[in-house]
Amino acid sequence: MPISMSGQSSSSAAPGIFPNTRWSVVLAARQRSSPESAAALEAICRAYWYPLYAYVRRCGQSPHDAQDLTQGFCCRLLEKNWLDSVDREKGKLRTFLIVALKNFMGKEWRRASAQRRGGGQAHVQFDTAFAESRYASDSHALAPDEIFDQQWALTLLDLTVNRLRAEFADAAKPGDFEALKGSLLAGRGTIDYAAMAKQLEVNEGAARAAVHRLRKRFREIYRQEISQTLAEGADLEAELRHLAAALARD
Amino acid sequence: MSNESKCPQCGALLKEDAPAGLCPHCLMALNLKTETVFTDDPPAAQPPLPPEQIAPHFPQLEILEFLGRGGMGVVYKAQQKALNRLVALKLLAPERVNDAKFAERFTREAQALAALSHPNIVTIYDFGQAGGFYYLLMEFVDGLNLRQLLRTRKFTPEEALSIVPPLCDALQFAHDRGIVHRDIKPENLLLDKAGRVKVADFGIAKMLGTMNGHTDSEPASPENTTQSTVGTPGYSAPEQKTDPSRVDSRADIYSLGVVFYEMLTGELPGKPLEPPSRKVHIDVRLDEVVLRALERKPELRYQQASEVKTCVETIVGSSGRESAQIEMGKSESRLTSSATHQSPRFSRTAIMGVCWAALSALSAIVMFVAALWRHGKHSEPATIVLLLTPFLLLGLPGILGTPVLGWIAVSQIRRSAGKLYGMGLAVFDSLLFPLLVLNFLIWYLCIVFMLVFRNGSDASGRIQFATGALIVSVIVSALIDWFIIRAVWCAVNKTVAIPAPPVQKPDHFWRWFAVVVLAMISIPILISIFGLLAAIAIPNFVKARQQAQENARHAAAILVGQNISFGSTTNFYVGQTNFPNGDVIEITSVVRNETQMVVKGRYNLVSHENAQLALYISSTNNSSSPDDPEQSMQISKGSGDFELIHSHVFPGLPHVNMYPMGGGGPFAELYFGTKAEALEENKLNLNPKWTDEDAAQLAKEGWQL
Repeated sequence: MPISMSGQSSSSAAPGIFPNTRWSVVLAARQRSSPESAAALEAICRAYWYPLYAYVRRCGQSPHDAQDLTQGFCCRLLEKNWLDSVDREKGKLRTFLIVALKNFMGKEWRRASAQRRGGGQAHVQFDTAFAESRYASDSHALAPDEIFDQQWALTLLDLTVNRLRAEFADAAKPGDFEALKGSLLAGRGTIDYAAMAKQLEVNEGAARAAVHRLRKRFREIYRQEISQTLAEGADLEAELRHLAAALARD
Repeated sequence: MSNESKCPQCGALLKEDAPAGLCPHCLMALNLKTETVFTDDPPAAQPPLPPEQIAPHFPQLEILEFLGRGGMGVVYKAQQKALNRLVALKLLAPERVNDAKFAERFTREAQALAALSHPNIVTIYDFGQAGGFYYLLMEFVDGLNLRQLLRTRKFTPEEALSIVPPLCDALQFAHDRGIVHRDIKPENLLLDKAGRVKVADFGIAKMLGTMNGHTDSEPASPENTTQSTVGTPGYSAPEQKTDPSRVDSRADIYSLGVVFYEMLTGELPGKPLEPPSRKVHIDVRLDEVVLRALERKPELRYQQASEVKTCVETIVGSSGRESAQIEMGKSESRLTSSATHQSPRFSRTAIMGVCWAALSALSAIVMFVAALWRHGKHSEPATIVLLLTPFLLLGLPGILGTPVLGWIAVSQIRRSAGKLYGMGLAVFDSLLFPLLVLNFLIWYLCIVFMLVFRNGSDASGRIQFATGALIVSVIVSALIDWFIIRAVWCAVNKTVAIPAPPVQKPDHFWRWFAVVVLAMISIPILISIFGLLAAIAIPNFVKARQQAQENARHAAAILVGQNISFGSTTNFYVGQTNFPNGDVIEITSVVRNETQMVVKGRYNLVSHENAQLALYISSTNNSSSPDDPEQSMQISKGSGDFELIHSHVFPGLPHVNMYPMGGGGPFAELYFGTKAEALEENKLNLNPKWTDEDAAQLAKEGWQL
């Protein structure tokens, strides 16, 4: 099954339709594969392929092999029924993917690559230049597991920011996002509301409200993104703290 | 390559992959800011109304002053004009005034609370709606809350212990009437000037926790939990966060445990949970109480607050001694109780002594055998030393250890007044090695004596004398042994309280003695036989393996060192090709040594305008290979020659492939290598195109690995 893996997670690309990566849906559809779960799995592959690639590269594979591996892993994920082994209680997408990838690297890849060498299978397009340049700029001091978690956190941030931007675009106010996005970084006391009001062409009170809404919405979306990678009833705050720690390790 | 910029907020370097050009660290920091617990707006948004503004809505009260603000509302001190008593007026939930469902729930809860009349619970006098607020009229407590007290000073354990029982009373009283507090924390525990504890805000958490209009029966979803989390982080039980519908009175017990912990140690319980006795000097039995209250699973906690009270009061009542003494007393009483309730048992110390003696004997024998062996064959000393060490370490100290254990056993048996038996074995333990040493000494002296005395006489006479002297010395030592044993035996048995028929005891003793001696002789013999066999077999086995490894390495070295030139593909090399699009790769020569592989050949590119031609070695154990510039080259449509160099040679299947520019998988492949490598790859089942005939043919040609 060919999957287009262009660098759509990068901030420079235009945000597309963001998939419903409900991990719970995938988990729930374990016994019988349904079109929803297949679509969800495909969306998962598309959204989170860069952390997988970074992990594989950090494990010492050449860029060529790493692409093959990531690609093969994603194909496998959709063909095989690996989900049956996922622990129902603690099913976290992040840990599932990394464990499945490690498994795949150990066993399946050799067999899969042999069949590939046998020839005939269609090859897929890979945006190598993007992947490799991004990888090159990442810190090289981290272990594979750490870099996976770090890139995972970054991917989630990416998805969140892009969703926010899409919301503004849908409301036909794309310029507003650009003006407001700086407020996501600043502490409460240091935002220049007057300047922002001027940029947005509204009064200062409305600017304050807009900033508050944006920050609140950012938090909500981020938490939603995380919760979509956790099963029902899981500890969201713990995952949040873990990702914050992973990101800070740079 | 990338425009290096810095984040304006935190100064960190911004990379290309930063989302929307924003610094990831700052974005993440935004996520970690704590959410407010109840309402959407932070409490700081609404300043408290001054008393004058409240007063018109409460004509029956005289509003005296603003007391404070909690998470749920504001509190004023007031006086009921008619009754002339001080009350506390709590105002909450301004935005729910028009919600009929909320009103009904509020009424129900308040009525239930009003029925809680207990000396340790802040009584509710009245409730209702006025001036855009819901209000509660409560008993005024002239004092401080526990949080204020904790801030000013640390509690002594006695003070903490004096607060907990009335707290438990209050909780139990409420639980019996089906009311759960859900928000026990120091701010809600008031202490008046008389020293009485009063629990405030009972049930308010339940009232307000369903503020957003949905009932407890709705499942918690991610969107909802952030807005209406009930309870105070740090004090609320785990199930209050994960499964709010399952919260019951045991959640209060958890919170009580947290408060208790904080009173004792001054800190909140952290992860990992440290028992309070490790932080402060308190009775260790309190640890059990606190830790059980803090169990994460409600089923494992105390099920009733009254149980907590009973445990605490028991500890308080029986304290007065040092906790160490208590521990000691417990263990001692355990010993004596077991001694009086059990039937007479064999002295374990004596058994230990004899085991150790056996071990010593064994080690001596093993050492002896090893010495012989070493002397006989010049085999590897390493294995022998390895076998010896545990024996030596354990066995030799036994010479001292066994008598010590034996004497301990003797004294234990004597003290036990009949509950322990096995005096025979104990005496045996205690005398065995000392007597052995004594005997050896006697024999040694005799031999020396003989050597000294009979220096000059002839050989046969000397041997005769030697034998005679040896026999004499053995007899002498045996007699001495006998006398010593008899004396000791009588001495240890002299004060036995329970008279036993003298006939029986000696039999028992000698039987044990015989059994032990037999065991001591036979077991070491068996083990040394086994050891001998192993000592013979192991070196041979090791040698055989080493030889095999050497052979393999030798063969590989031969292969690597060869200059391989490409002749006919079917004769020497396995050239597995894959040219689905009509491109061609041919290899004309391969020169390979330990560090480098130089591959020359010709190519003909037809299917693409441009391509990347590369030489890779893929290994079956996934070792990495950094990319060298000489490993690949860019080619354009048409034919030409190539020379590629791979500088990190390791065992694996080499291949030359064509890849599209800009990335992607190969579209033309040529696998080459030696037969041996191909066989190795085949063994690992990586070449599905191989048939069994191919493999058989290669094997027939003599290629083995």
